[in-house]
Amino acid sequence: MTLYPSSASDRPTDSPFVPQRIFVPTELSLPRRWISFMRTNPLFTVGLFLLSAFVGLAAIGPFFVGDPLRTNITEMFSPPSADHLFGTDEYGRDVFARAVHAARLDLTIGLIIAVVAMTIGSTVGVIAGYFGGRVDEIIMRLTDVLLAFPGFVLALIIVAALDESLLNVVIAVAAAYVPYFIRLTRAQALVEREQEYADAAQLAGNTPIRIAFRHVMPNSLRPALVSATLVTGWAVLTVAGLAFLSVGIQPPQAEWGVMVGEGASDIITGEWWTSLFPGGMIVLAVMAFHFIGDDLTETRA
Amino acid sequence: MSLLGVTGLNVALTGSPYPILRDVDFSVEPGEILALVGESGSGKTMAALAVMGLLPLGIEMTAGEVHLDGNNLARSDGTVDRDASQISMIFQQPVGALNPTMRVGHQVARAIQINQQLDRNSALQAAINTIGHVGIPGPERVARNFPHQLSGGMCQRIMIAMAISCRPRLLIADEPTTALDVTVQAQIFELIKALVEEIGCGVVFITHDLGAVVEMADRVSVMYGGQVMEELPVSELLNQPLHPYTRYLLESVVQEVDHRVEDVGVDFALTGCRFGHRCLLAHEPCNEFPQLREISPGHRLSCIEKMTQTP
Repeated sequence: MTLYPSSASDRPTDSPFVPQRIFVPTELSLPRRWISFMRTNPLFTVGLFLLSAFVGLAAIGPFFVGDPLRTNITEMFSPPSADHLFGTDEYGRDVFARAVHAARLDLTIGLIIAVVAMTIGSTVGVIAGYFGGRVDEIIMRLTDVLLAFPGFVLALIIVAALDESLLNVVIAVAAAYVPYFIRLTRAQALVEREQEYADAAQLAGNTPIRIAFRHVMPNSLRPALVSATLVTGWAVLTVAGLAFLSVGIQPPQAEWGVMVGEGASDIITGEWWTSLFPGGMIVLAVMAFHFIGDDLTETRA
Repeated sequence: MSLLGVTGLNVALTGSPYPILRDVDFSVEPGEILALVGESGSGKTMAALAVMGLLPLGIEMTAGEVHLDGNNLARSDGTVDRDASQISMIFQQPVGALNPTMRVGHQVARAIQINQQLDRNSALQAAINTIGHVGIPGPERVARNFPHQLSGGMCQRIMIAMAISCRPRLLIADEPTTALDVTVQAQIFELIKALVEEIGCGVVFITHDLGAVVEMADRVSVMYGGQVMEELPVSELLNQPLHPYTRYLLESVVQEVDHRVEDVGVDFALTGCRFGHRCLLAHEPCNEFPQLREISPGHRLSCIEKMTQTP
């Protein structure tokens, strides 16, 4: 008899040893794993579905709806119907067509703003965090000045100071969110620069610039990346808010904020659909980004 | 002329009158392994960081010289010139010492590229060769991995590959096996010893493990509270340690002793001998700082009590 039976036949038949069934967790199939993921992250799932719907709408929707600018005097203020899902506005324009075209514009602008703000903010943040000292002091005090203004007011001031073009709206709103990314990335860079791999990179003879951007920066991006989802939602809200105040994007451009602004006065006279539907789109879109961002903040940042 | 000569090294918090390291002396010959031994907070790592020029912000060299091949690396402003091609370091936490967002092959290649002026591709090839050289099977495959895909022992081998890739004159190993389990520890020791023999560099081996010291080192420097207590060949460490602290240290390992050292916690004396508060032999003269003096060839001691006993 061998000490460690390698197969069942090695074991004496009268052995008291009875092989026990042990619990081996089986790998779940892919759809089952998705379902279990959705169950544990309900908010994220709702956000993801909403966002996919919006992205789909923005990507292919404009090909299926009519011209958002075509006016039709005979069909002014017609309530929602099969022909006009969201009704028509004071010029007889189809609110649904306008809202769908606006989805493309708003989501694109929101995304561009978040990417621009994150790129600039995290670059500056890494410089502040990694190099420290006087550089850090100057950058952080400037950031404090910017953070003293509410983001919306800051964007308002910048657009007012620049010309009212789409590009300037992007610049203004991105500028309002840059300080946020500077702070997030700086804080992480302060942690990462003390890690041994930063010392090791220094020992290997890398230049400080290279260590900052090649070693510290990729490792400091996580909080900024997570927050970028939240900021995309806020940026949509800010852009729409500016447009509502007729700052930035101007009528007759199909944009949610513009539509709410134009339709706001119709509510008193009973035409609620001209502002409610685009307003609802803003709420849902911002909610989608917020659910995703919130969940990521809790689990990943 | 020794390879590395550290003399009278003083390191202090900026503006503090009490040095963290006080008059630290040690030297390493080419091909020699010097162990820096001592408990936590004894200044082993601080001494190594000072030599590397990696002292943390707010801590500076206040006095002393660091000679590498006869050139003084210490600058007058309290910093140390860093010579990346001459000195390499192996860190305590192998996983933490590798950039988690870079493939390990590229990290080794980068070290080679900087120090040997090679282009990217030949540096990567050289890196793969070096990774194979430190006993990693399938270096081409491993080079493409990220640190989190490798075990601690593998990461430490990668670190060693990085450290030896530019054939340094001096290698500083800061508790290279503390984060690894014993079997891997033995392999890493063997690897370091073999490589040291191959490239003939000097090694400063920092540890608190006396077993590792006996295994690895040629000479030992015993530190306590930022002071070198005794420096002696490893053969004398077990047979004739003279300093009371060295004896305490040995007794903390050796099991079969009839009297145990009383644990009074870490309590550095800021003036005089740093070990004064805990030393059973301490008396009045110990309020003076004892200088490190040679008592026999290769054996230096800083203990006033023992010095007066030994002629």
